[in-house]
Amino acid sequence: MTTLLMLEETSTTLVEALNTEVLQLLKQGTRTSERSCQTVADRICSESLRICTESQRIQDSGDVKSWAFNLANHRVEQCIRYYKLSSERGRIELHSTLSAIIYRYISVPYTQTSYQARLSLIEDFLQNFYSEAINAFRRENQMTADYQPRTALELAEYMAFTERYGKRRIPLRRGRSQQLIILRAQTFSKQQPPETAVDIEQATEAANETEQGWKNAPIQRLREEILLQSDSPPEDNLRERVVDELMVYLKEKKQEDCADYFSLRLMDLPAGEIEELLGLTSRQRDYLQQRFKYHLLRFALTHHWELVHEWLGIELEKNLGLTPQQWDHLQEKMDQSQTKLLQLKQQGLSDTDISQTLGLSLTQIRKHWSKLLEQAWELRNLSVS
Amino acid sequence: MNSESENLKRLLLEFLTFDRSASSISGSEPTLPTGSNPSAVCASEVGSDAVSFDFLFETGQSFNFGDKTTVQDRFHTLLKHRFQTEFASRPPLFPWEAEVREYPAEIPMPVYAQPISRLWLENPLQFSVSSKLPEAVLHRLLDRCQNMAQSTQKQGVKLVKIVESLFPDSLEALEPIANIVLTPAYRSGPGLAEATLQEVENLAGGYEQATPEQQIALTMLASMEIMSVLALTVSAAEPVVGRDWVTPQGVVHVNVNYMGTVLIVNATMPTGGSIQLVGADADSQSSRPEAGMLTLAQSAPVIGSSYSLEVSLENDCRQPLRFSVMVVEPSEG
Repeated sequence: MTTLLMLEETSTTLVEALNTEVLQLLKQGTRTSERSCQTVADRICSESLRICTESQRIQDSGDVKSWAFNLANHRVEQCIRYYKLSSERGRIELHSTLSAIIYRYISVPYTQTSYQARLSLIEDFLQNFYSEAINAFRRENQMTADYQPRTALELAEYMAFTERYGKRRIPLRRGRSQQLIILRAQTFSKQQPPETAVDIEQATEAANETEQGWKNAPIQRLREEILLQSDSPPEDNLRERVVDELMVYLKEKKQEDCADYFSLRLMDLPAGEIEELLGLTSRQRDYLQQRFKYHLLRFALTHHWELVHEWLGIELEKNLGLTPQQWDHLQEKMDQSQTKLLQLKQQGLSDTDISQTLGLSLTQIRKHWSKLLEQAWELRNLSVS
Repeated sequence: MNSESENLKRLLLEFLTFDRSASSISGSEPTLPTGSNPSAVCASEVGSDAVSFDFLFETGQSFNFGDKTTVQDRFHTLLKHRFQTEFASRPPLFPWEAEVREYPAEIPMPVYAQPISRLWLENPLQFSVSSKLPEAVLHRLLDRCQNMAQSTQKQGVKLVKIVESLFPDSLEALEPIANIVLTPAYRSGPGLAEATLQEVENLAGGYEQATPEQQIALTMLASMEIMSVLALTVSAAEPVVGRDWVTPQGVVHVNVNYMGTVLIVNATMPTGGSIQLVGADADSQSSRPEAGMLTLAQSAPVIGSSYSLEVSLENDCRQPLRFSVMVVEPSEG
């Protein structure tokens, strides 16, 4: 009984403290009257507290207070950000953010979807999504069915909510999860004629999960929120590292456009769409592609050869992935300095040490080594073709 | 190492450097030595180049389930910039909107929903019971009294309604206390008020330290005080009634004169301002820019009907002070 009482007392203090802080932040951030901020503050607080109450993970953490404050602060920040952008720029921001997330998922299957075609589909899709979001907002805040934002702050609150709502993670099978707006976009695309077999299974799965999500709204929401906060490590760390290092490498080389090109290629966009997105002619895109290829090779054979070879499972310790026959062949073809270089590399010496031993510059060492790796690639390729 | 997966990975990396849409391969830059078209080789082993690419970097659908990566970040940023330019000329509409517009910072509150101006608090602060209340409580009380003054409900019901929002946790205590407070003066009226006041005064913390019951009694007594001042009742037998209301700007003097066929209202204003008489058959207003007298006349006032006399001082856009004016039969007065 005493414990229960104490808990109740704590939570009353927490609610008050949270309310005071949120109200204060909103007033500071928006410079509007307390009266205008109060209802928004109330909604932010109750949403944050609801997540804290329902989340076993937060309850178990033993630090409900920090969680509540963090969740509320995050919501206030989002709200103020949209408030500062104001009505027109705020909605362009929201529209662009959501469009970027769903871009790849909006398509007419098996049709060469162009940038312009996708764009108009996206706009159709988002119109529906905004309706869904205002309904969800009303429902979750127990507001009347005809509530609509009237002040700049309320509009900002809606826009921030809509962004969060779209990004909510919905749990799928096998411990995976997906953002709500992407599931909706997939369902939307599925309904676009003509129908196709591609990803049907997945889309169906997503749709079912979604339906279920509607029915168990409160529990589901909580799970979404928790998942949103958990960072599961990527399945393939090595692949991630290669991608990350390549990005860093391209930026270091001041090849921002190559990095853009790389990200678009990774998203599997066809050349025509890449051209539209980057605003390039096909000739310009072709040139960019060659430039990217050049840097990619330097990355794979010179600057990060160890990482790339490890990822491919063709490390030096594995004779660069060559068969014993190929390996012998490679060594026969090598001249004396290459043989020496290979030996030193096998001993694990650094490039600096090797350059001192061989009396060559670092650049020369790297050049020789790239050449050698390239020869190994050539040999492996020959065996396949 | 399994040669098949070795081959696959080799092909995958080749694909990375192979562009299906490539129209030509430039000879000036180093290219990866490929024995043959990788997509052709791929086709036999992994189906199609698109599949291998997906496999390589988990693109396409399988990629979606990963957490945010460097690539996704970059991709999203790139698209977002593109869309920002695209949508700048045609911002979207939200479901309830007919056009894109800016929203007001505040919704102006309707006058009736605004609390009464603090300048009217000066006067009740001089009353014997009201002066014992914290200003915030008195402010709400005056506001509630004004709104209830017109009501034709029984006095007890009025008292309960006036104070109920102040004591949401003691609602069941309100009615019994109202009955005690309303017990005729010759039996316990002044005695009760004085006794309660005395008890509260003896408490170090005053009103704040009083029990809920004492607080309820005090606010009800104060309400009666305020309402008796706000009520201006005239009759043939007692045709003239006047009130002084102290404000920081000076005293407002209100005088109601019932002359049988006409009801004359005079208000002496300490500054510019206006008065308004509103009733079932009346709505007249008079205003002046500086201090002085304002007069309104209502011919053939309805006996037993209540008129609202609203007084506003210049530069005060808040709710006015509202008196309740009533003409009654002599016997009732």
